[in-house]
Parts: sequence; structure tokens; C-alpha cells
Amino acid sequence: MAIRMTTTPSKRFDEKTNEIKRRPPVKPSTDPNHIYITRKTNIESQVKSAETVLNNSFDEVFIHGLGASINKALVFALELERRFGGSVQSDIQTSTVQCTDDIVSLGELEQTETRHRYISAVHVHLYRAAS
Amino acid sequence: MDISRPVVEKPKFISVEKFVEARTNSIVQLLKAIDNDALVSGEVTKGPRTAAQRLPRHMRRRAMAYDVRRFPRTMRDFAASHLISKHAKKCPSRFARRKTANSRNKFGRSNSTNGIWLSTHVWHAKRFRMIRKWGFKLPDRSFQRGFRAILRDSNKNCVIRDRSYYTCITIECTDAYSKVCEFSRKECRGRTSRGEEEECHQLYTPGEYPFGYIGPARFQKTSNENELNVWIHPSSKPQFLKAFSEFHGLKKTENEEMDQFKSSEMTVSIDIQHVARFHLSGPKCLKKLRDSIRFVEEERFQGEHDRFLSVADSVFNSNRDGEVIYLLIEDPRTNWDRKSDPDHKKVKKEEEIDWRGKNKPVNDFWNREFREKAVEKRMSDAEYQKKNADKILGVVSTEAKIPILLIIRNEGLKALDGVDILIPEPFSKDFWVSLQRRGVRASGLRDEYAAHLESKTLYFPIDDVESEAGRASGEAMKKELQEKYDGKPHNRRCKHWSALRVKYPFEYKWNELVKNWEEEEAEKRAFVCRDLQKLREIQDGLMGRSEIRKQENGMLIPVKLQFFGRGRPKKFGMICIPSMEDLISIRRNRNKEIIQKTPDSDEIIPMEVEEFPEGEEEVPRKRLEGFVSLDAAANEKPISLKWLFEETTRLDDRTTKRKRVNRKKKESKKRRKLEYEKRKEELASEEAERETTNYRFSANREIIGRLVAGEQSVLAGHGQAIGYICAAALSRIASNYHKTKTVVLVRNSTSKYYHPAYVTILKTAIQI
Repeated sequence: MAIRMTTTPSKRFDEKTNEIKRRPPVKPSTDPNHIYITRKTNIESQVKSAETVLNNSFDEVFIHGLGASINKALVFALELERRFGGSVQSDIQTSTVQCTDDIVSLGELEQTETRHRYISAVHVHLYRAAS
Repeated sequence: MDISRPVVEKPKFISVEKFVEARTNSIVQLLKAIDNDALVSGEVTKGPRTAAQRLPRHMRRRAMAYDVRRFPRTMRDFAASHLISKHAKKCPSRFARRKTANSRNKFGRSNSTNGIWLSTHVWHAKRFRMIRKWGFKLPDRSFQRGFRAILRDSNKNCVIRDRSYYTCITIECTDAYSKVCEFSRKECRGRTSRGEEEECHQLYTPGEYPFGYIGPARFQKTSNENELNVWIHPSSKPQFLKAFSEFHGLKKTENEEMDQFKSSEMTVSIDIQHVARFHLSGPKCLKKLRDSIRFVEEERFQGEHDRFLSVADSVFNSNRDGEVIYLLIEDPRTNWDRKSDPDHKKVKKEEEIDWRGKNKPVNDFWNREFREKAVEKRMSDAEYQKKNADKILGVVSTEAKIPILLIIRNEGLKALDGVDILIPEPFSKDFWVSLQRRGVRASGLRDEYAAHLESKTLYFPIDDVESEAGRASGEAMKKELQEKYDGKPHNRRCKHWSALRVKYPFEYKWNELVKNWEEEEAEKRAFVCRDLQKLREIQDGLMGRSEIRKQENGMLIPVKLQFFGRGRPKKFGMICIPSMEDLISIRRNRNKEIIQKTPDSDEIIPMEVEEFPEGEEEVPRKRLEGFVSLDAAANEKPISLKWLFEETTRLDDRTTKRKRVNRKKKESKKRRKLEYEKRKEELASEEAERETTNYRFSANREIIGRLVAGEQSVLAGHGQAIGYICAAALSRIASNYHKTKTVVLVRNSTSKYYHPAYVTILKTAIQI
């Protein structure tokens, strides 16, 4: 059985004869004050729940956005900041997240490949300003 | 003096009748003296029957017949022999009867007529509705918490199901894997395994592809190339074994422990008792598992233990689907009463892609002797409890070191991803309780079915339509639904044909549907396309990326449907082609009602027109709002004088009354009979009409397929369904776009409303 291993992300493959299966990326924390924004997140409803988290149980929230949802995560953070009108402050950090993909060849099953893919990420730390 | 007796003249003859009469009289007199009502019946004549009757009346006490201590001490020895009942033994107390050990010994796994018990049966039977299915007694749904709690836990926490009813078939021969692979189709698999990973295969009878589908199976290779373990669903087991033994010329041999099929080269043994299989799913499943076990510190297993600890926190990122981890753990009971989690060694997270490639597996689990050694050393519950109470910190370690096997399930199906655990059967119940005490929620078959639907995958065998198991499940379902339908009064039955034009409300009849869709007149059987590459091509065709090619005759394609307007799909719903007008109305308003019309509703009923005599003008009937008529005669009704002054004597007359009742009875009987005959005639004509109608054109919209499962999705908030459509109809729906997605109409078998839904091809293989 030939197993090819590579960590170079730019490796191309034929989409017709291969199938890519993406494993979910690792979350830094599963606490309720960590909010993960995806392409499917509805910002309005998410802002409401984030507001309740900030008002009731936590003094800080962390907003994470990955790849295509970086823009959305920043919009979300700005919207949350606007709602609190200066009573919260924010720090922004960027990073790179390592994801793992399995590429399966549909024709010849023996040619399978696992590889890492790197995605840009943004993390916004919103916290109540000391008064 | 002559003192001699007077000479009695002896009769020369006696009359027997007189003699007997005289003796009878004397016996009666005697009995009157010794056996009268004042005495205990039969006490003197028949002798004392019980020990108590030997006692004088004033010394007799209640309950003497049952309790020897009620007798005077001197008589106890004698009385004890009389107290033993000649009848059957007394039934053990309710408490004793319900002791787990007793009930399992009495009914246990061997009782296969009522369904074989799982090792966790007694635990489940107290909390779940148990149903008989596939030869087992299985938990269906919980009495404690509902569906939502389990759904919530499967998304955020951890859910466990007992899947011990899957059968493990061990095949031993030279190069076992390639021999079994003759039954598996490569193009239907879609993933491969490395080394000893577990993988899901689609089994077909060799030489019959695309027909002859048997079912999905999981193959587990061991380090020994001549051995392979195949996990298979119990419903598809008979078909597989029959096909396999015919193909390899195996013969069944008698063996006390397990069923075996043998030939000179090959041995196939079926083990349903010795290994239990649990399925844990949910994001926290590895974490909960880590907290409920205690590792044995043995050097050989150290690498495996470290690997497990390093991945236990992550949500399957570092694990390939099917990866196996072998662990050696202490008795699970040692972890039951701990308030804090066991202290595991801190292990650095590994980001190793090919961990298994570099570390050889320690597969002692598949070594039967190793497992049996652990089972032999298992402490009994009583012994364990006694020992546990003696120690301040409780028992930490016992002699039994249990090998367990974890199989990572990481298929990208949200509610089903998790880990499968294999554990020797005698420890499985302890392990189950240990997980329960860490807050893992147990769920049953109903929840498993719902989880499959939420993950948009087919559930074997209920959603399968081709294999023997699937067909048997379909037949059983049809019978059940038909019985339920026939049990209703005729005016409460859904008029499937006359009102809704549903030709087959309780079955699919794929062969007929496929035949209707084929252009050539040929006897064609339906089969399901499981070739993943072909399914991808079809999906590309539907998306407009490539052309849709003509597929083989009789092909059915699995699809998933997402409802974007209203609609709560159900099993047996029909997938139909929308007309051009429908598409336009859906684009304008997705919730616009599209209704199935019956031929009767098309007939134009002439409107009744009130005619006024000539010369008179039509008086406006409509009154003003809030107008109250002051005319006293307006609301009066004429009352018959005859009714008002009816002779009361006539009502009291019983005969008249009875006659009237009887007449009414007769009339109603006659009416019932007439109605019954009329209904029968109608039914016959309906049936004849139904038979002659083409399945495809039976409703207003052309039918292309049916739903095998459907429900309002709780997570997504809209209806979603799974079904099959005919491949021949693909070109007809390919151009029906709504926001770049293909649209079809779906109608339930009990409804006249068509609902629009997006259709996509189901590209994941059916799994167990």
C-alpha cells in the first residue's frame, strides 16, 4: 500500500477522482465565552447571545474567525463594541491554524493521503473597560 | 338354673336386603355419635390429618400449619415433619426475583425465542421501553428524559448506545482479507484503511452486482494476516452467511460455544456473546471516556495510553476515521464511586499525522486467551463490595486487567461521530455503569434513527430498500401500518386513492416505478446506485457543471431533500416533478399552496339560481349590520298540534315502545347492510381503477421517487428527508432551479399539499 505523506498545502489533486474530507479544526476552548464565527453564523442573533454572556456571566468574550469568516468576525466584534458604547475594549490578534485533510482517491483506494492545511485566523478579545 | 342363653333359632335363610338395611341403620347411629357437627369433620373417623389435630382444642393456635414455633416445644420435632408441604415450592420473594443475578441466570442470553438479552439489559429494562428486534431485546426509548435532552447531549456533551447486537464474524484462512473482499465492492467504499484500522464495506453477492446487495459491514484486520473480524448487522447476517458459505463451500459444524462454518481451508466462527460493543458520540466523548477509566501501568501499553491521553481533549482533529487504540484498564468498578477524576499522566499534545505508522499496535484484545484470563480473574460483585468496604480509599486495583479497544468514528456526520468501544462481555455492564456515573447519556434505537436523519444518512436496515434485511423491514412496516389502518372505523380512514390519489400508501413498489420510467419495455428490477464516483458525476450534472448521461436501466439514486418553505416530510412521501407554473409560483412565494386535485373536484357543479316570479322585484336580502328585527313573528316556528297533544297513554304502552325500538333496530340494520354493500362496491371499483392506473402518472404531478425517512429537523429548523429517485427522471429535474439549487415537489401520503424542496445527491455510503 502506497501512502504518501506531505505537509505542503499547495499540492493539487483531481477533484473528479478524489474526494477531500476535512477534519474539523481544533477549538482553543469550549467555554461559553468563546464565540466561533462561521460563514453560516447569523450575526444579529449571535450578538444578542454574546450580549447576555457579557452582561450576566463573564467580563470578557473571545471571538474567533477562521479563513473566509475573518471579515465577519471583525464585523461582529465591532457591532458588539458599538452596542456597549465604549464600556468594552478590544484587542485583536491574528494567527495561523493548522487543519488536517484526508484525500481519498475514489478509483484506486490504495492511494490515500493526509495533509495539513494552514488557515489564517483572527481572535478578538473583548473585555469590560476598567472604570 | 339354666343360665345358658336362650336358644336362638338360627334362620336358615337371610334376606340380604333386610340385613344390609339393618346394618346401615346401626352404622348411621354410630356415626351420629362420633362424627357430628359439633366436632371437627373427620377428626375421629379419619384420624388426625395434621399435627395440630393431635393437640387438645384449647392448645391449638392460629398459623400452626405454617409455623413450627407455634407448637409446644415437646411436639416440635414431630410437627416439623408434618409441616413440609407436598405441593410445589413457594415462589421466591419479589425482592429475590428481581435481583439482577437471578434474573439474568434465569432468562439470560440463551432465551432467544423472546429475544436475546444484551449485557446491559437489566439496566436498560428499568429505564427504557424494550422492543424485540432482529432477534434481540433492544432499548427503544427512554422513560426518563425525552428526545430533546438526548439531542442536546449529542451536540454538546456525550451520548452512548449499546450496539452489542452487532455480530462479530471471525474468518480464519490464508489471506482472509482478500477472500472476504470478493464480497465487497471497491467503488462503493470511498475510504481506505491503513494497517489495522476498521473500515466500512458494502457487501454484495459476488457476480450479481449491481444487484444482490447484502448490507454494510465493518472489517477489522488484526496483525495476523490469516484472520479477519467482520462486524455485521444481525438482520443481514443470514444472507451474508448463506452467500459466503455457498461461495466457499462451507459446512455448519456443531459447537457448544458458538456457531461455526468450516471447510478444509477456512473456518468462520460467529461470536455474539463474548464481546460487547458500545457507541459513544458527541464532542466530549473521549474526555468522558478518559475520566471513567483507570489505566494499568504496563510498559507494552504505555505508547497506546499516551496516544489516547494526547487526543482525548481534541474533537477528532488528530484522528483518522477508523483508527484503533488498544488500552489495558483496571476493573471499571474501581472508578464508580470516585468524586474526582482519576489522575492521568500529563501528556503533550501530538500533531502527528501518521502515528499508527510509527507505532506497532499491541493487539492483545484479539487474543482470546488474554481476554479469558481477565474474565477468569474477575471478582464477583459480593466479593468486590466486601473488599471495597474494608479499605478507606476503596479498591484501586484488582487482579483482572481488561483489554479494551477503541475505534475512532470520524466520518463528518455530526450526530454520529465519536468512538466505538469493544470490551469483554462480563465487564461491559460495569463499564457501562462507570460511564453513566460520569454523566454520559444513554439512548435507544429511536434516538439512533433520529441521529441518522439529523446527519442526513441512511439507517440500515430500515432505510434500505434492496437487501433482504431492508425488504423484510419494509414488509413488517407495511403489515403494521395496514393493520392500524384497517382497525380504524371506515369514516375515519384516510381516503388514499379517492381523495389523494396515492397508489401505494404503505409500500414503495420500486420495481413498478422504475418500469414506468423506462422507455424500453423490459422486465427490470430496481437497484440502488452506491458507486460514489458515479454519484459525484450525477451531482455535478444536477449542478450544471457537466452533462447528465444516461444511466443504467432500473437505477435508483439516494437523495437528500431540504425543505425551504413549509412542510414536514414523512416516510412514504412522494417526490414529484414540478410543472412550469409551480416553479413560477414557488419563485414568487415559496409558501404558496400547491394542491393535489381529484377528478371529482374538476367537475363543474351548476350553481343554484333562485327564480323570482315575473313582475316582482328582487328584494335585497342583506340586512344592515347590527339590525335587530322588532317583528315578533320573525323567529317563530310552527309546531305541530298533533305532537303537542299526543296522548300520554300511548307513550307508556310498553308493547308499542318495544315495537318502535325493534323497528328502528331493523331499519338501522338494513341501512348498515346496504351501506356496507355500497362501500364494498365502491371499494372494488376504486381498487380496479387503482390497479389500472400508471404509478408514475397516478397523481397530478409525475412521481419520480419516494421518501424513506423524513422529519422536521430540530437542529436546522426546517423539514429534511431522505429518499430514492429514478435515474431516468434526472434529466427532467435538472433544469428546475431555484437560487442555483434543484427543486422538486414533495407530498406526504396523507396530504394533498405539495411542498417545494431542494434535492441533492446523497454521496455518503450507508454505514453501521
